[in-house]
Amino acid sequence: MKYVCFDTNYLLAVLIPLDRWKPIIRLCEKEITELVDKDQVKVFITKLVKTEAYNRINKIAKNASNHFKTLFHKLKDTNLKSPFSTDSILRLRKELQLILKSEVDEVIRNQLYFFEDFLLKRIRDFPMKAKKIIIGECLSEINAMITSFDAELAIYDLDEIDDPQSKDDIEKLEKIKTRINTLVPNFNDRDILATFIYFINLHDVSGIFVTHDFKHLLLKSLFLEEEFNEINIVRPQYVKFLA
Amino acid sequence: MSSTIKTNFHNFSYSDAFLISVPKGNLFPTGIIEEKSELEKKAQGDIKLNIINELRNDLANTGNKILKDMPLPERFTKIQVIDKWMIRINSLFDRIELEIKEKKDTSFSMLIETIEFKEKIENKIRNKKYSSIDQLIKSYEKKLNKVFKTITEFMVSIRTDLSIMFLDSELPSEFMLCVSQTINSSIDYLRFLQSEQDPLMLDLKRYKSGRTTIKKSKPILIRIDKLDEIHNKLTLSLQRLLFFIEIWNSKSIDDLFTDQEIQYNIKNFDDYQEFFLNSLDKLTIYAKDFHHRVILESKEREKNQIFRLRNDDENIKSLYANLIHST
Repeated sequence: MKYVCFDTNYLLAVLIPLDRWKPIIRLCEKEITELVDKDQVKVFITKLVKTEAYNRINKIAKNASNHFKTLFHKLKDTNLKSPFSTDSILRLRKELQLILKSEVDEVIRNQLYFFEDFLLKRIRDFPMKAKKIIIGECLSEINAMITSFDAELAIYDLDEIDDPQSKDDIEKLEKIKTRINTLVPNFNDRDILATFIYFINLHDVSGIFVTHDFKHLLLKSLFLEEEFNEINIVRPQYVKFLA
Repeated sequence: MSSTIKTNFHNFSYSDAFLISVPKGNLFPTGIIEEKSELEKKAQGDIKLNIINELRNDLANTGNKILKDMPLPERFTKIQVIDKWMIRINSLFDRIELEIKEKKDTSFSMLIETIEFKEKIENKIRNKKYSSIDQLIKSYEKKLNKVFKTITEFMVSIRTDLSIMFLDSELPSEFMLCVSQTINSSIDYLRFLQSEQDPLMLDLKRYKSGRTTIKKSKPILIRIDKLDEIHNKLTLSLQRLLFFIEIWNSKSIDDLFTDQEIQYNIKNFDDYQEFFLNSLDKLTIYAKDFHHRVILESKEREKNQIFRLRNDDENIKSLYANLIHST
């Protein structure tokens, strides 16, 4: 049996895929499920993968809360109990542009565009609803992402790799990290990969690390595989062929 | 009742939350299982009004639980708050009793009516008197469908109300995270209960015809009973949190119990800002834990598909995916 580990981005892609990814994600999901059913592979995530995924979602919810609150206060003088009119939509656009302009973080700016899309869609679908209800509902829906993610994650029965506890084991893990060090500059990626390598060594099995991160992992995969013979670092489509 | 047209959330904690905290598992025929034998002792008569009376009699107890160890500002005493709170809730119950007598179809009276049907069926089964039970089960099933739909809609509207309260306040984003986790966990619990409705009804009908025993439903009814206990603690904690916010943001006892615009601000908690943030944290963890229990329970029953994001609106799914993968 081979052990398979998903990195954070791939885990998130499996649980909540972008529309254009769906065909390939579903195909790989089917293939991996079949391999699991035949006891050919076992799928894991590390503790840090789970934490990273939760942190990303919590951050989005927090950004949404702050962003919608700013917008709510800026629109207060337009009578929030009334529905959006042409004038107030123009005002909304202006305020959103000002919020965007003052945001320096590019990731948050991208999120703001999606919040804006969602807000406009709701105004179009419910033109008679009061402004404050539209904004409140949008915020509630975005915050509901946390429980949705929880439920999706629970469905997949993914085993979690615990961090080593004993001094010896911690040292072993640190040694692996040192070997990875120069090849993987991102701290969390290094930590996740090293924990998985430590884990497969512990169980004396070979492993498949699944990622679609080209920049940090896939481009270095051949060097990493040379350093660690026990592992393959691949895109999800390869799992079926390597199991 | 929540209508999402309020200017703020004043008085939420003593009326709306009371409705969401009514044990949802009690909507199912849990009285049939042995562990609920105290129900047999229940006085006959108008069951609906009996239920209201039970809730009314339990008021002081609920009030004490909500206020237990809650730090109050110097301008309020615990006795004052409980007294005024009970007066307010009693008047709410008076209104509900009137609605029941006038046969108005409000969500609360609908809920009480469903429990009434359920209890009639339980009594008939317990006493082995099966006359007109078919009709009762049919009506109960219909009511149950409607009540689950109404409570879910009601909770979604409360969720929106709380979002608006947050947007209009100077409360931290942790508040939004906390209420969202609590109410969404509660909504998922309702979804789970709904998914159990059909098999329970089937068992109830078969039992009556003598083809099987109600014992088939017993394990899940006991488990729902346990989940309900935790759910009640969860909703009680939410009421407690909201009441705490109301108290510290009200200037006087009269302000607290009248519908007035309140500017919710974390600074109004004075030296208890840390206590407030810790309470949010605790409730968020508790809600998360409850949500996991519900998910595990539904997995056990092979019904985990009910929570799938895939069943949701396409717009929501795309929004989540775009937000998560935007870099």
